[in-house]
Amino acid sequence: MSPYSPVAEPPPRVAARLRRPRRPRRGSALVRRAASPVALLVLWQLASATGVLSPDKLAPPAQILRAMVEEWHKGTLQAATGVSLQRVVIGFALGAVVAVVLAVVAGLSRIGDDTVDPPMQMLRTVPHLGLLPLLVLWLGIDEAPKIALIALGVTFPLYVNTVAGIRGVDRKLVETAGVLGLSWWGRLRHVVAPGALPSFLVGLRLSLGVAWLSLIVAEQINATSGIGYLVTDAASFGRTDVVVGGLIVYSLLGLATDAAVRLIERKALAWRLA
Amino acid sequence: MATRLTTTLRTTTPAARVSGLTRRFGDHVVLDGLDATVGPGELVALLGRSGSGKSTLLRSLAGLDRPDAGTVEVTGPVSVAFQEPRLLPWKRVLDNVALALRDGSRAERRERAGRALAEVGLSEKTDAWPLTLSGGQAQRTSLARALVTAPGLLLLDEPFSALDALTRLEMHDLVLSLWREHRPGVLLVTHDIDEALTLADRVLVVDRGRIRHAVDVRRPRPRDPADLTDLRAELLEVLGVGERTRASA
Ligand SMILES: Nc1ncnc2c1ncn2[C@@H]1O[C@H](COP(=O)(O)OP(=O)(O)OP(=O)(O)O)[C@@H](O)[C@H]1O
Ligand SMILES: [Mg+2]
Repeated sequence: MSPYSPVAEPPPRVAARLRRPRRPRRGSALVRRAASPVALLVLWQLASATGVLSPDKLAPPAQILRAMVEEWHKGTLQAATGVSLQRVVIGFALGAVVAVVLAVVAGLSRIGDDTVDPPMQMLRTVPHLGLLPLLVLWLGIDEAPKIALIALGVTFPLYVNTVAGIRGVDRKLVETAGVLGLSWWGRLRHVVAPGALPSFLVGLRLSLGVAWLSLIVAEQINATSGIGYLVTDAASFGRTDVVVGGLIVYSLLGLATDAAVRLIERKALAWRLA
Repeated sequence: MATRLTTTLRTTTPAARVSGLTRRFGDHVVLDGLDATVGPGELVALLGRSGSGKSTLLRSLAGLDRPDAGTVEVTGPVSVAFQEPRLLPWKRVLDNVALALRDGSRAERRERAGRALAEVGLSEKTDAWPLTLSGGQAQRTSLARALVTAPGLLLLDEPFSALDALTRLEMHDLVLSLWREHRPGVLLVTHDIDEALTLADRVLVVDRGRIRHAVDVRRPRPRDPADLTDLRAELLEVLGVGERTRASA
């Protein structure tokens, strides 16, 4: 599943439960599932070798690999990845802080809910990628509009899921914690935060997907560094091998952050696997 | 004007005393100047039709509900166990119990929680996640959590009603032995007349906002329900009369 999917997929366990129970197959299963992607790659390579696929349109897999190794040796690939990664980290951090603060305010107090939630629910319907021209007008063409676009994209899915998580915390458990003598802070720490965590993590995965997507869009415009620059620059020279290589780097980065959140989910939500 | 007072004098002051307790929800007067006392170390059962205000009374005693008028005095600490165990699913059994403790180091709190779990026979479940427990085990954990603070007043709101008959009988024995050991005042809300009669020193019946009937059960334990038919008949009639009064009103 692509990390850029706009739709929340069901939690992995539910999906697994809906599927028919699988016999443990281990190695053979991996081989069987890898067969068709490998076949497609071979087909692609063959199509290029026989001239059906012109390298102007799409370079063959082997050449893409070679081009990326070459970029690596020149150091341009690492530099570009570093710049892009930095944009995502900063933009994501800004958006996440705003989202969590607003979600806590809206989730924990009546007044906060009444003031914060309506504008957030209205703004979240705006397709944020469409704001890029405005952001460029407001913030110029350097790093600021790129980071702002990422932050905007991150804020809404994370806010919506975190608020839903906080609201969904069982009132009876909060009440029980009060009877047990827990302070306001103790109830927040031991009941509300862990209760909202599953939903927060769903929001985290969605918003990371949006963050990478926003980065890709932002880097198409006026980029002078980063993977997006590498790609657009290569495209102007007809280097489809580097273009596709850049896309692959994007998706590897997206997969990596998605896997990281899954790992956190598995650790932090072990109590649900019960 | 509702007042609430908490003391810690265990042996002489009643575990709980309410007088003139009144609670309305809109026009609906649920408690109407109710008076009741739970003596120190006394086990009192509270019967009453559904909606008669048993949980409302218990919630006032627990400080979860603010009465409109009357006084509530309790001997603390006050513990509550509800119909559902209400364990935090993201904390292991031991940590759920330890969460009730405020004093002492983390190690001390966990050690005391471990002892409370041993008392309810759950020593081997200390590291389990609550979602892996059976209903009876979860309810025993909830009891351990309620007792670990050595409460002066233990409030039980139908804690056994979701359990099967056999487990319920086991829980009765457990509650009696824990009560003998720790001697908190207990207010046990129940719908089960036999449960009330086999466990309690005194059975109160709440109806139309007040305690309308009290039965002293001072009989040696363990009690055989077969020896309690006279009291059961009495309570059945009281609860039945309540029904007829309501129907004619
Ligand atoms: N928060 C509330 N808001 C409005 N009405 C309430 C509220 N809490 C309780 N009531 C009403 O007060 C009455 C007494 O409720 P309570 O829960 O005390 O009954 P109960 O005797 O415990 O009943 P049961 O045996 O079914 O548990 C009911 O009519 C109920 O609808
Ligand atoms: Mg009730």
